[in-house]
Amino acid sequence: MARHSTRLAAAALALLLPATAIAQPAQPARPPASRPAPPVAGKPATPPKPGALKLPTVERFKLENGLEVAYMRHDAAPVVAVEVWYRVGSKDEPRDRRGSAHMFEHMMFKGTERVRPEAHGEFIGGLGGDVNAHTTEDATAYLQMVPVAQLDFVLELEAERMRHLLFRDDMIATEREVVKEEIRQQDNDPITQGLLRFLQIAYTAHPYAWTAGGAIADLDRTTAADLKKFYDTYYQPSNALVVVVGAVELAQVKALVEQRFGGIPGAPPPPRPAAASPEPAQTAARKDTVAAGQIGIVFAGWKIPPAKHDDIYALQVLSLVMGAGDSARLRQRIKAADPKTKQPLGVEAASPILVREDPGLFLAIGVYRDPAGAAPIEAAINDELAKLIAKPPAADELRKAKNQVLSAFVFGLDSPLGLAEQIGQSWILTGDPGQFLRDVDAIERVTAADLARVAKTYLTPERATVVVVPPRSAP
Amino acid sequence: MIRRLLAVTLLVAACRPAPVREVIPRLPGDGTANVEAPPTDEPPRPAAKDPWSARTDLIAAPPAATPAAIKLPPVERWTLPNGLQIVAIKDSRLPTLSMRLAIQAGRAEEPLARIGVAELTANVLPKGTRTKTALQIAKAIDFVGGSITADASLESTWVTCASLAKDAKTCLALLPEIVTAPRFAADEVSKAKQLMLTDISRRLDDTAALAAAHVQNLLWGDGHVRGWVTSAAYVNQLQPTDLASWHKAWFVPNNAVLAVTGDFDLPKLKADLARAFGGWKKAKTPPRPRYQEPAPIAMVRLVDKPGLTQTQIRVAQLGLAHDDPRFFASLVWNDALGAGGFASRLMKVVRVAGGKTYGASSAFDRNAERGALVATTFTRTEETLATLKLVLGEFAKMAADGPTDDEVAAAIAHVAGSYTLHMTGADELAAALVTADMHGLSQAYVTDYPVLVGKVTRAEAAEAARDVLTPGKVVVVLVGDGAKIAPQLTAAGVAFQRVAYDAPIGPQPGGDKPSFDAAKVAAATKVLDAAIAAKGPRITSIKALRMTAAGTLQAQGQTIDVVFKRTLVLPDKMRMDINLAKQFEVAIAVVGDKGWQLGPGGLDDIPASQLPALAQQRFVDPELVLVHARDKGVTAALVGVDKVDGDLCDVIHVMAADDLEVFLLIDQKTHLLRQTRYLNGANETRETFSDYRLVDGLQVAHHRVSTGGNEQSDLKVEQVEIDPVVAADAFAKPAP
Repeated sequence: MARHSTRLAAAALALLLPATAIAQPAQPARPPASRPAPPVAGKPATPPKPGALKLPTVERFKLENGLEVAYMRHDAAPVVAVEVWYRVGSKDEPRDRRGSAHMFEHMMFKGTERVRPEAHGEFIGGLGGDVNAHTTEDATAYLQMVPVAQLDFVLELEAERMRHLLFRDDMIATEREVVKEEIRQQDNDPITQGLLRFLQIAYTAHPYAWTAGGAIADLDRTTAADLKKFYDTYYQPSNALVVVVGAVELAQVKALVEQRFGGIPGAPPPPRPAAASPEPAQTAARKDTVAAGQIGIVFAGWKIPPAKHDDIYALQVLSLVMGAGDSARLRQRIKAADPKTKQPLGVEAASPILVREDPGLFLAIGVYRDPAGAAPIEAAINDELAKLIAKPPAADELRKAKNQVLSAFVFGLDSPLGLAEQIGQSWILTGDPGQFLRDVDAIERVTAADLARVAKTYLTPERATVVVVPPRSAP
Repeated sequence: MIRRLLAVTLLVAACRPAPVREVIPRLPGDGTANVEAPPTDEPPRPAAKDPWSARTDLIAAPPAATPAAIKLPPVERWTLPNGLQIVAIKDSRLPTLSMRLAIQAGRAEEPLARIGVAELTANVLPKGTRTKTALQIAKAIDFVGGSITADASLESTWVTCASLAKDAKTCLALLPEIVTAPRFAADEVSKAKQLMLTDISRRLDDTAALAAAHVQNLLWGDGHVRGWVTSAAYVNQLQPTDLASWHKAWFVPNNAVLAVTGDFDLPKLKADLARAFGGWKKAKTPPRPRYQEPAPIAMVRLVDKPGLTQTQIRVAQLGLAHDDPRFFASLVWNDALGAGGFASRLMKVVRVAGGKTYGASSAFDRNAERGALVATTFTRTEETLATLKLVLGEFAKMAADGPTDDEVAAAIAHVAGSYTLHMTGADELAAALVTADMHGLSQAYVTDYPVLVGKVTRAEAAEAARDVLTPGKVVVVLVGDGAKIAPQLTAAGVAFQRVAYDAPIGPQPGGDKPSFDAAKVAAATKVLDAAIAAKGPRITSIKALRMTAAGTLQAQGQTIDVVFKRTLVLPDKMRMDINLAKQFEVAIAVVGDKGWQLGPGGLDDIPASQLPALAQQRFVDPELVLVHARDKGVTAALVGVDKVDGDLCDVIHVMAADDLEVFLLIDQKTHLLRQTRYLNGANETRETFSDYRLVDGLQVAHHRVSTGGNEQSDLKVEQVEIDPVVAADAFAKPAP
């Protein structure tokens, strides 16, 4: 994550908290998260038609060097969003180089053969445009939104930095310090430390045990040679997707992308170290408590299948039933007064789902202030899941969740940059940049019995990981 | 907002932080062959040769577009009979509808005793109405996949409902009811308070939020609403009745603007809104509180949180009101200073060249009233002072020289271009139009914005930077590990105040007096010393004073002649002999905490309820108030700058025991007292002094105009006696 933190937050929210963003349609003018989902095998794409909505389409094509391109027409304003997605994230890092994918993201702004350091960002700023980048466990993405006439200029800049980056020791030394300051922002935050601990014990083998932030000690070890090797391995056309969303023609996009990227030679497929470290099935509950913060938080989580698995749809609906809107089950349970004590268990709750290329997480989170509050919240979370397994939700509750998906989907069609994010995310998770357009339809087919089944399959007490950040003192 | 916090924490944590190394699981066969020893702390290597200087094929920036006016889609505006203004922009591309209602009241209107009431009221609005429970409202909006939110900002409260267009009836039913008939049920208020208290606790773990709270408090002081910080003690005091009172006072249609965007049929929308909001009753809103602007002073506050590895740095000074004539020129120089991202000086100097931070920026508040200019950055503890110096250096350079020609061109391209690029959707346009309305700006402000930015010249930008920036008089907040930062500051000779990270910020309930910063008290002492020297040093040693004046008194629509004689004997005796309309004689005397009055109605003891006002009169006497301000037990602080008859004056806030309180406006050039301001009951009285003449070594104002409430007096001084002979029985109560 490199650039402007607020925009960054919105973009990263889309990447990391798909279900949560659906659960919080509080800012409908902004793009909601993509709902990453698998292609439905053997079924034709039959997109839903909310009202009189004319659904956009994603056109995709491939250059000879393996570069994939996805295009969507969007005529609302004379602007174009251009993103380049690389299929490389923190899960591809060597274990003693944690944080290198993210540090590399910074390098991409530090100068190429024909562009001076930081000039890329200044050029886009001078056009009044937006420029940013983000790194997650699975992907690194570079984004721009500019006046439509500048499409070719942005493609030229992106093609330049895809293969012509300069690695200079003095620049690396300075930028390493910048990255460390980015990481230090979270150093002393007990909640962040709790979440990191959660990931560490939830994943015993898979590199999802660490985040894209990495570790300062590993960054100190990272040399120019390491970075160059990383670049040559992963920053290749055959490992990337160019996304163009805006008021431009397909023919123009084809011609310009071919002109700017066509001459880059192809490369062999990169190694995937995570494939050698599959996460074993969890058979017993894991629990830990970390240093206290000002407020208490219970992180409970369960590993779920990879994004391409069909059960992801039902798990997404389940996350909405539990945590989307004030009427959702878990939020009601945690915030309503307990029948015995007449006091609420906590002050807030959420149930985001982190869908990943490899097995992701279903989370249930409770925020509380009473020092003795963790155990009752954990019990309530398990109780709500048990209730759902025992009795599938009623028709109107299921309908509510599906309506939430539909509404967030429609509001999400407003922003070119938000759509480009959804397209890139779809490609990373399913291999198909247009998959998100079909997700609403697949969600529509989820039944109440599916919810009970996936809860029973994945969200059981022996598969749970729980980390508690206790509150420092009574309210 | 905790929900936002949750989301942001998750995503931030998932992307950024550094796990503790030893607990990272390692895979079987996980090699360490390529692990090298960590580098030692070497100084940054000297810059290598510029690899680009020899190249002729560098990619060049495309030419910037000429700033052009924004073309608005059709904007519908109408006003309901109850005064509710409506702005509607149709956009049928997507089948959605959003309604945003802005109430023109926010934190700036909160009384001191009710800090937090605007936010708490907003949070509880959707939690129950006269006919619906919180759960019923939640179920209704959740079922259609819509959203209802309410947020209080400094100057307004926004209540928003959004849904698919086919479900617009849900918002049309819920939004008006939430806004006009909220219930403020005790259990919902209690839950919302817990959530606010959680946010407040959380601030202690969030150094950026903590720094933001401190810098506003340090800049504006405890006596200004912008310096107040929501605290647990205040939130705990808030009761459902406080929310109801706040709602009743401000949530009236004539104090609101409604923006509707999306897919609607205009005639139907007009009918729907007339029906939905027609029953909302018009009412007069209370007067808006006004506050004294602070004086520019240099102050440093170190907020000590032991163990932090990174220091949050804020540098702040007064900014601009939205309608300030220097607004556009300042957008340009501030873009070059810190708002222009990687093109800005702060980013270049602190991040790119120095590697000291991840982010550095500066931003103006964009409010109707003058807000702040705040620069924000953060760095590792050991670089705190060096980074602060870099930021202060850039403030000073920009003030001295303004932006360069290249920077002005880049800033115009960025500011105008960005505005044009983003001001395209109906939502953005509607929000901009409503904000312009609330700030008293016209629709042309929104459309011409890029053009006005484009017209700014280098000379204008430089002049505005020189005019607005007050380098050397800025406030600085550092949130970090005090034990490591304090020596850096001390070694550099920087004076600072040190507070614990969990100490209360700003005024607290129970402490009904604002506590002043030491720097402001010290500054006030200097101003008062100069004022006494200008007045004549003997003022500090006189024992008694008599002043006779004549003029007119206007009250209740009448003007009457008045002759006024006031005798003061230190420390606590005062007698006033007043002749009204050349007919009535009134004598009033106060000694200590007792008093009497003799008038046409006879002789009476002064009732206890009126004694404080007379004690105030005795305290604010323009000759002696300068002396009182330095008495033991009296606190004086420099809190602002204001003009009297066009001349700049320092504003000194003087507080003594027994609720005696007065603001002194002392001329920055002549050091003479030009005005006093104090409360007389609920009304502020202002006494303005002019026509200073030398009397026995003292400068005495011979023209005094007093205004306040419904009264005004205009007096010419006829005689001033210093240490006069005072009759032994002058203060004794006459025999009946």
